[in-house]
This record gives sequence, C-alpha cells and structure tokens, in this order.
Amino acid sequence: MVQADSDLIDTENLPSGRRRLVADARSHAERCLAMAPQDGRCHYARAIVYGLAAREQPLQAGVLLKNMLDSLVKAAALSPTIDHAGPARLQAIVLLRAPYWPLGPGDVDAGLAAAKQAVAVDPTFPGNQAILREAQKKAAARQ
Amino acid sequence: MVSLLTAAAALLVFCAPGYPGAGGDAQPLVDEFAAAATKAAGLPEGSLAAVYDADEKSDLARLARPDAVLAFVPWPFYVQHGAELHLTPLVQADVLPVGTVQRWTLVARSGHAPPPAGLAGVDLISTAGYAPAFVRAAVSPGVPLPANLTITASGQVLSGLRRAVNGEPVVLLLDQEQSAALPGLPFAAQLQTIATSRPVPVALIAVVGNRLPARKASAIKEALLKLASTPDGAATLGRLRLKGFVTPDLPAAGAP
Repeated sequence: MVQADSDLIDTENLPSGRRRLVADARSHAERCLAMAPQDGRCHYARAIVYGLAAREQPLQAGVLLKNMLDSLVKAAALSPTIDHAGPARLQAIVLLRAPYWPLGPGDVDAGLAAAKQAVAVDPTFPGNQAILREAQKKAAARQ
Repeated sequence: MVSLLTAAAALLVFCAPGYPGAGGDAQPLVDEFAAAATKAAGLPEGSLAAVYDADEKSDLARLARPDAVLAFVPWPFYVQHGAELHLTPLVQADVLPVGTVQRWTLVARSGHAPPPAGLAGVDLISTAGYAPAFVRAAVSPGVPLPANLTITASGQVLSGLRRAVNGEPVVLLLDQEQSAALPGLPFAAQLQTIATSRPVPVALIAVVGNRLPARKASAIKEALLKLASTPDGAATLGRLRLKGFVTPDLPAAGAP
C-alpha cells in the first residue's frame, strides 16, 4: 500500500497533492504498525514514509531522515530479507547521500557498513551491489 | 551604456564548497532569495538571478563569467580567492545558528601536541580545506606551519574524527557548528582542542570586480540589510539558514 502511495507521489505535480499523498502513506504505515508491530515490513513502510516526507519538507529533513534510519534499523532487525535486503540498502543510501555530520545523518563509514550488510543478505540483487560500489568509492575518497 | 541589471539577468553565485546539497536541491531556495532581493531593491523583476554551486572549481569558473556580478562566499573562500577575483564585501551574513562571526577549532586526539610542531607530518582535514591560506592563518597566525603538513578538503569530518581517535596522523579544523556538536559524539572524550582561531566572519556577499554599478550595488546592499525586517523576507532567509545581513565588519589585514 505504501509503495503504491509512493508511486502516486512521483506522478503528482502539485505540492498540495503530494502532501496529501504523503499523509495517506503515513496513515497506511501507522495502521500496519498498529496491527503488526513486530513485522519488519511495517517498519520498512514507515521508513519509506519518513523519506517521502523529508523530500516534501526539506526544512524538517534532518529529523525525518533520523527517524527514517531508526525505522530501518528496526526493519533490518525484524525482517532483514524483505525487498532484497531493502532495510540495509536504504540505510546505506541515506547514510551515503544525506548531508554529513553535523548538518545531517550522512556518515560514509556507517553507509559502507550498511551496504556490506545488504550485499551479505542478498548478493544477487543489483541494487545492493551498486550501493556497495558507491560506498566504497566514497570511503576511498575520504582517505 | 546599458546597465547589466537592465539588460540580461545579472548573476549572484552562491559559492558553497564543502557544504551539502546538490545544486538541484538548493536552487529553488536561491531563486527565491534572488527574487526577494530584486523586489526589495526596486529592480526590474528577473534582473537578478542566482545559482547555488558547492564545487570550488565550478564556483571559480562561474565567477569568471562577465554576468557574475555578486558572490555569496564563506569567509575561507574570501580569504583564498577574494584578491584574485577582486571581491568587494557588500554585506556580512548573519547565519543560523552561528551568527555573523565564528571561531574555527583545531581538534586532535587527546595528548596531541599543539601547532605548529603538532602539525608536522599530519593531514589536516576540514570543510575549508579548499582554502589553505585561510587554514594556515586560522590555526597558526603569523607562524609558518611545517612543510610536510597536508591540507585536505572534505565534508566527511565525522570519518576524519574517527581516524584521529584511532591514532591516524589526522587533525580536524572544525567550524563553530561542528565544534558545538562535538560533545555529542560517543568518542568526544578522546579528542581535544589544540588551537582556536580568532572570531572571523561566517560568510558575506561581495561585488565581483567593477561589474555592478555603484548605484545598483548600493540599492542591493540597502535591500539586503532590511530583508529580514519583513515576514516574507525573514522566511526566505530562514530557508537558507540565514537570519539577515549586517554591514561588513571584517578582521584587519593579516587576520585569518
């Protein structure tokens, strides 16, 4: 359901329409968590909603991305294999591309660790290999 | 002669090397700023455009173009390139949450010797590493630094701090926001401050060469100084993490 909301948001041009769709997605994720708080898929969905909200509200992005990472950590602990190691892969994406400390949660070291975790869980998924290459490139650049 | 501000749009270049945000992310915010400044200065709509660029080389290329009449620059950028670009300060930025001036702090692993001796053979990492003239003046004013010191520009300060704690020959020059966040790190107790700069401006807007007629420059300066006094202006500034602008009060020559 949240994935469907996310797809709809990508096709909506009006900011007001996107905000409404983010609210719908948040509602769906919260309902999922209320029904199954130990299901990693619900935490994963909640994380995606935080990410969507961060894109729509850049001034609150710092807090929203931190919440997103917290939800992804829970999702990875409960259901590490969903979406081809999606919780670890998304953690890596956020940690590698968000503004660096202290302006945001960006952290290349932690991003590299998350990317390695994603590849360890599902080495055949191209997205995991791609984010690992990005992480290794950024880690090499910091030396 | 037709004024630049009545012909094609003149350009304000937001030079932000080392700062986050691809141009695409920040561009709507600087577009909004340019529109607000243009309106406040009573200039024709669309006569001033702005561009955000977080790459130093690209910033320099943009500023070399004749349509670049104004530059928003961090103080390190001004120290490094102000003379060669003929930058004349117009207003000084009041930046959230730091203010108009800030101290830079040199941080190393606990027990590390202070500069200049403590910088022999180490890698100094900083978001301002692209401006070695600023870095040298900030960490050791008036005293030459060891020839084998290397200075690296990197936004990955957190990784650098971990490397320092792990015993690698690394020191970090932090801006005030970074040093304020330092105590929150789990390994903060293993780090120490070994030098602190004098207060220096955070950032300023400067006129590039003589590309902006004095009358227009004056109108823009007055508009920028008053921009924060209206709710809309304050909101526009806030989205760029700015509180407003003040008349420049720069350190004496020779200061970092």
